[in-house]
Amino acid sequence: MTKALKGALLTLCCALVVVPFLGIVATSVSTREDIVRNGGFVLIPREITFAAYRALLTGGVVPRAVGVSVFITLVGTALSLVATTLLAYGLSRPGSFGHRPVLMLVVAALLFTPGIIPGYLTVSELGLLDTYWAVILPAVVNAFNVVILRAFFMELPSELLESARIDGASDGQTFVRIVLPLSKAVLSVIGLFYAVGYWNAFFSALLYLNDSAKWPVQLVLRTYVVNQTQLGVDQVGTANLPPQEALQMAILVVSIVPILLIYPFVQRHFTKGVLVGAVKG
Amino acid sequence: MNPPPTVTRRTLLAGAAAAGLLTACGSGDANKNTAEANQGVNLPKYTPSTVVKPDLPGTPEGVLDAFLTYPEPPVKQFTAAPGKGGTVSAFVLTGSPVPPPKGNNPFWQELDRRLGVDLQLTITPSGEMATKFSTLIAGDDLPDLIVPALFLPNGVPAGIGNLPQWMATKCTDLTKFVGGDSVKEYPNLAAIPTAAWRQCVYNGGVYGVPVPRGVAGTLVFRRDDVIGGLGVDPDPKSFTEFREMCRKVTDAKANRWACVNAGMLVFIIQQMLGGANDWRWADGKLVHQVETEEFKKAVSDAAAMFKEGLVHPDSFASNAPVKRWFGAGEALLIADRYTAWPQFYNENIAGAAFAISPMRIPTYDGGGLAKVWQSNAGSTNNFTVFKKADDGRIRDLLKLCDYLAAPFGTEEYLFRRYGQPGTHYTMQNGGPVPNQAGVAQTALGIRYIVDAPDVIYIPGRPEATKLSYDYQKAIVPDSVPNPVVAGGLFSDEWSRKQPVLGGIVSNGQNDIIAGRQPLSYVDEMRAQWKAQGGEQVRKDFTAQFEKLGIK
Amino acid sequence: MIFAILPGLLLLLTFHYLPLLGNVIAFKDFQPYLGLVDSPWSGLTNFRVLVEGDPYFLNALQNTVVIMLLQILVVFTVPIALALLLDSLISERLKRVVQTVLYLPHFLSWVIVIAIFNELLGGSGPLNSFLRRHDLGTIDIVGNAAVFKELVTGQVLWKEAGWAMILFLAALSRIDPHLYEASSVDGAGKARQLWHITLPGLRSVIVLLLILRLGDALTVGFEQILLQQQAVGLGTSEVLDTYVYNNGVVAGDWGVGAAIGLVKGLIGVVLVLGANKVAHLFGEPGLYQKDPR
Repeated sequence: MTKALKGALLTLCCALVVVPFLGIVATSVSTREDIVRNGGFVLIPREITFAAYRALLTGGVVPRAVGVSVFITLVGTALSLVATTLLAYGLSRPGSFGHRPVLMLVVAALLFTPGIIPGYLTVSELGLLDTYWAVILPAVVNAFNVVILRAFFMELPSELLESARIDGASDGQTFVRIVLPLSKAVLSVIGLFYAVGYWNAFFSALLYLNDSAKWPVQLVLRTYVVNQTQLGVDQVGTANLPPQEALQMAILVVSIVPILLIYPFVQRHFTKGVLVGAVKG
Repeated sequence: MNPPPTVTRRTLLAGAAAAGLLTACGSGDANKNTAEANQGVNLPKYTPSTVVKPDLPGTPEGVLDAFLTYPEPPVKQFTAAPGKGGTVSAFVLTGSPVPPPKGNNPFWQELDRRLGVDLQLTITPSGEMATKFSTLIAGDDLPDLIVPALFLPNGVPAGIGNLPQWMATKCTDLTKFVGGDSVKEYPNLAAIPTAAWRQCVYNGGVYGVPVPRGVAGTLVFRRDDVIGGLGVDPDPKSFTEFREMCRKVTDAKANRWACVNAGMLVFIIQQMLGGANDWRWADGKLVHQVETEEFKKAVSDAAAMFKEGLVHPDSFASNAPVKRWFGAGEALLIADRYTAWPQFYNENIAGAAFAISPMRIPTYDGGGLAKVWQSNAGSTNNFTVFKKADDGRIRDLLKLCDYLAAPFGTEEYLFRRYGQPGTHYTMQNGGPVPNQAGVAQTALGIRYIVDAPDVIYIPGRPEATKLSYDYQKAIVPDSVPNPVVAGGLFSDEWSRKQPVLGGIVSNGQNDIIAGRQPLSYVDEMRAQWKAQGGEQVRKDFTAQFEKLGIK
Repeated sequence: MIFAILPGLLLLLTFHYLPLLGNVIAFKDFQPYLGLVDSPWSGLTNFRVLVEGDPYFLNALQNTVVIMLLQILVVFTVPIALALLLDSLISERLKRVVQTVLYLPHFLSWVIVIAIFNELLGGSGPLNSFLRRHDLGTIDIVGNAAVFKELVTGQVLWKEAGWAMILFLAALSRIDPHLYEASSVDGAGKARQLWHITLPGLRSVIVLLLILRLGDALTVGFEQILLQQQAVGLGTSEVLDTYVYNNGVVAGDWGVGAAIGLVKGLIGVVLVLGANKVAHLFGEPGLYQKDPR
């Protein structure tokens, strides 16, 4: 493939993403005049106003919801990584007790999903309603991630693990000293999957958190996007307030920026040659 | 980490059992909800409020009181808080972005102070109402006041069956507290029109408090400034003239179309033809709209007009921003409820020139004006049930509801809707203009617990209030009700299947209008509609019409 | 090892398998007001639609299969190509910037994605307004039943391609760079390296993900499609999940949903077992092995 073709392809791909995103940002800082004139989605605003962001950040809902999301994401991802890594490693070691039936349970969990109401009753019976655990615990183990991680563990060079065992390392020591360091790339990807999963989750929060003070930002966002009106627009004058479209796009931006910040940490581990050095050393 | 305690299958099922109905109240009691029992209910005696005098008085037929400005000074109705402390919980819905939680919400704190209770709200986005409500029912941990998902706002049933049976076992029959003269203890509830109460009747009792609405439902708004600017006559005298008007105002190159969507055309043309408002009960026969010739003709005409390009091209999209198109002048006719007036003024960019008015629909062949359909949802938006509790508790809750139903013109109403002057709104041109804090903090959804009778009032726009009032006064006297709603009838099959049946009609209608199916497809729609439950619904309702002797 | 497995296993049993018992409503006329236990048994009534040959159901099934095939063909392969393309870039910085840009759309919910597509490509959007003003006709993409399946696939591609690429990038990072050096010395061109080193390095991940996708074969974008059905009609847009929703869930027939879910799960089991077998025939580890090492 020639350089020029490659460049053109990548530019096209990026443009397809960047243009709508510029529109999102532009709409979030547009005036009502611009928004209505452009049919709701502004690509180039004529006048810039940060009124929507001001309204969101001082309204007493959004900053708190972002805080909740950060908490859920941090705690959840940490728990998930621990439980998933242990489970996947356990299932990647042959011959351990209950190895095959448990693996089957994990795979079957991918194929059969429980209904909303039984899930609610379980969480409710455990007394988790209106706690953050209701949102975190059911999501700690994701079968897809377990299967992926296990596959990566299986592919670690067996001579490495073998030599560790000959050196007298216990299973636990092998895991911590050899398996984990060699799996940084996939662990960071799985961590990213979990983090983004927790960040994006709104449905469990809707079901399990009655107190709207505990809502994460994605559920708040949903009330801006799906509920089409600001309250009372049928009864009140709102001409001087930021337009609904700008508010929607602004909260969208606010909800995306924090999770974007973690991506560089993940990318760091995509560097090549991690395995090679280990095998040789 | 510590694994959570596991639940055994038994405890889970026990929990589920508690969620179910007590055996004694199973299907055996289902027939408590009969037409005869519901007909004989002792409804609250209607005593209109005399707290404030409207600028333009309503009529008993259903024209709403109108106010040109908010009464100044507002009348202070309550001298003491209605509550006695303690906590009151409520399950409500909202169509707005979620409000700030109590800790960050001065309006909510002040509301608590005025009510004299700690009001705890489970606020559910209206789009997720049915799901969340199903879990609430299953979990069986009910709050004091519940807005049940029988109807979503705008009267669309949420597709959950057995509501009357559930209410019979879990909720309070309010008849002995509000029936007849006993409602006088709560004067603001007594001022709610009887028609609204009738829609709270189940199992032979009053099972809820209503959120009343006017019977004049959906009307056709018209952009007079644009149509007038084009020199087109905005008052067609027949269908032909109407179509001609649409042709004259449409200019696709200028991004301007006559109609926001084709559904509106079906709605208008059926009224021109004297079609059925959802159902028609005549000569001992109940016919649904989809089965009428008027419907078929309307779809056929709408399809032709769509093909001609008189309808906004993106209008079939769900959540199409139709109000924005209307405000931007991309589309010049829109069908919406009378409550939409203020929003149109607030969200347009035409400035001072902006002018809208309701279009009077002519009869199809000319010669007079068409009879207009009443609101399909009848006289109530929704109602709120009370969890079973002792009499004292129910009376306390009703007192709170009395406060929450303080009529337009009172200081309490002004606070409930708009918050506190200065903090949440300022008065301009005789109307409150809220600030961002006001809009955000007051979006608690308490307006869906109970409300005062609706009024016509467009803040800061007395001329628009006058237009809206005149329109209602003109159309209400010979407007056409939905006979099923007017009769206060209930069919479990209807409350469950209406979303499916409605989907068959709207999808089929769209297919024909968009040219994906021929007009003859209406026959297939009708067959499907009947097979999917329509026939059963007809049986249910017909039996009730006959029993009640409604002609 | 049992202690390693235990926490994850307990969580799975509690929050997945315990509520899964509730799928018993597939055999009940479940009604929320009656509850799980008191809802009457209904035998196989909820499965009736599967065997009755209801034309609307068959139509939904057919659409599901077509969309699924389109998506496996396009949405599964493009991320692999993207990952390879990115991998071949020399500049680390450029690589990271492109990655970050491409995975942005994953964070938009379907409501937003569809709103953006409608705004930009709709009949009154900037594209068609421009065409109309210059008498060039219009391009009907949004709301056009004839290209709906392609549109849906394009939307998934736009939203998820960058995201799906990540796992392949992680797998690529494990390939020994020395292999490339050695083959360069042997005079192998880029194309041969791709064929003999890079793709084999990705093969097991590709096979694994493909098997997992097959397990979920009959699930195609519920919310995405539901939100756009009104615009194009059910004829082209009804899929299994929306069929269940439109005919069951909205009418409170949760049992039908559970029934179809069970059948979908069983079909998934068959597909996964079959695909795994095929993988083994080609010497791939697949999802699991008959005889663990």
